[in-house]
Amino acid sequence: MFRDLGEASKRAYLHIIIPEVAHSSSIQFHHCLHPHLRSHHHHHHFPPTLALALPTPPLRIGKIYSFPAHYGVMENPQRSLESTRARFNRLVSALTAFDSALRTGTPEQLPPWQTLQPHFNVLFSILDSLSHTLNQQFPPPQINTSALVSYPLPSFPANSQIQLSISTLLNKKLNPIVQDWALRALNAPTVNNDDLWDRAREIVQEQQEERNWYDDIYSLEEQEAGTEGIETGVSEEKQEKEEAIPGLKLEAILRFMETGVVPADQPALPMAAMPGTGPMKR
Amino acid sequence: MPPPSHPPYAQSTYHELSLYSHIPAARQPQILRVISGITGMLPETTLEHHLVYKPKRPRQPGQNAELYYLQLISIVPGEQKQEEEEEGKNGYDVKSQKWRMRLEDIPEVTRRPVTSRNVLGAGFGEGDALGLVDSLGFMLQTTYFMTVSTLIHNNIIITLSQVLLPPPPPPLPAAPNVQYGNPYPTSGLQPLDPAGSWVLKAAVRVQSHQDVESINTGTGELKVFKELMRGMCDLEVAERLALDTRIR
Repeated sequence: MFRDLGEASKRAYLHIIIPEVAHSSSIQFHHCLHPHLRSHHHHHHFPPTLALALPTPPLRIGKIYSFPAHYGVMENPQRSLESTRARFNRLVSALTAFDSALRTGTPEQLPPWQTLQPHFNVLFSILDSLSHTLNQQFPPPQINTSALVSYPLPSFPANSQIQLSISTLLNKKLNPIVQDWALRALNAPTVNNDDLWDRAREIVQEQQEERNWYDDIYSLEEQEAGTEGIETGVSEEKQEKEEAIPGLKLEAILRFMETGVVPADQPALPMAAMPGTGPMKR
Repeated sequence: MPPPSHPPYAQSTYHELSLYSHIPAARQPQILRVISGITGMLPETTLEHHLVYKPKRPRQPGQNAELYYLQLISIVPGEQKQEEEEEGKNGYDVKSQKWRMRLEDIPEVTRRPVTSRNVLGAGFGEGDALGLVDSLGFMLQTTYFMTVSTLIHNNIIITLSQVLLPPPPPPLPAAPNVQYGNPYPTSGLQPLDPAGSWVLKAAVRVQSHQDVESINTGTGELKVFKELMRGMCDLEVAERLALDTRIR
């Protein structure tokens, strides 16, 4: 499970990946909390970093969750982090227990489902409470690109073959032309949505009317190639044939077989009133 | 029940568990091939002659006993044989056919996913079957023919059948026994259903309906077979009242 903080900035996001059971799980939790956080409310950017040690990550950028500048949303980040960390620890221990349970018994066979079931239950409840906590303690932020900050870990391969430098990757300032557009759009007067959509509908209709949809069945390619007709699976004649003959129902045939009364003379059957007397209808 | 010593007739009484499916005419050859492949045998096709009898005396009001339709069934020999004997005879002699009698009970009310019914039957050895039935107080109601392809899969008897009607008899000359219908020529037989559909029946016979274990086994086999045929055709429990043989 992971949380994607806004599509505007794909560069900063929180990734929580449950490591595979096969490998020994090691979730390291780095608390980098400024000691003065509680007292200095006006400090903006002191985000905690959560770095998960994955087995072999190609690139490791410190993934940051930064809470918005205004403090009211997260009252007690330390408490949030503590509770989240506690749940993660429970998750780790449950996973190791599950792992050892899987390893007991014969190597090729799984243990009986009765032993696996409680593990599933425990894991499920832990994951449930974990996701609930995350949802509650770390509320999704408002999309405020200026508030999102990325901090690379020291191990970030800045000198590798990737041409993009860190600054390009983490650059928040838009291309100047794009920036102008954005500013202009933001500052423009509010648009009346209904008018906009009406206008859009008119434009689409004009475009539709301009084009001929029904006369040309064959594409330009086919027309140039001079195709006379294309064989599809549908046949008009076949359909007519099928509709022409109304057949007897199975019920009528069976009744004739049993009683010798021709279908035309068969009285209608009373509908089965009791459950279990009729066939199992689907 | 020990079999009677030297029986003059063959008795076959069993409890039948069955599933039915309605096959359109166009799909019948394909389905026959598929089931033939599943069973690993070639179908045995026969033309059966069915005579449906009903009691002469209708049920008295106040009487509790139900009256049932009775069937006489015989196998019509192939048409080539008949040509050999063609010497002024009409070719098909109803009376000289080997008949067997069958009484099929109305299916039980059951929650099982199969039709479950009792079938009583007996084969006639020698003698005049038609005369006997007449003396039992039955009269002929209907005659029809059925072309049946039979295949066996484990304990399941699979029959793919189509009901055929004989052509109406010519007004003259009034041949004897014309009311029984003449199957020859077989090309003259018309399907009952104008669309020419077929009935697929998968049945398991259990000796006694008290034998719950066998019934369960049979039901299980039918279920497996139904699953096997899934996608090809829908084997379903037929409408119980459609298989009702009671006289109204």
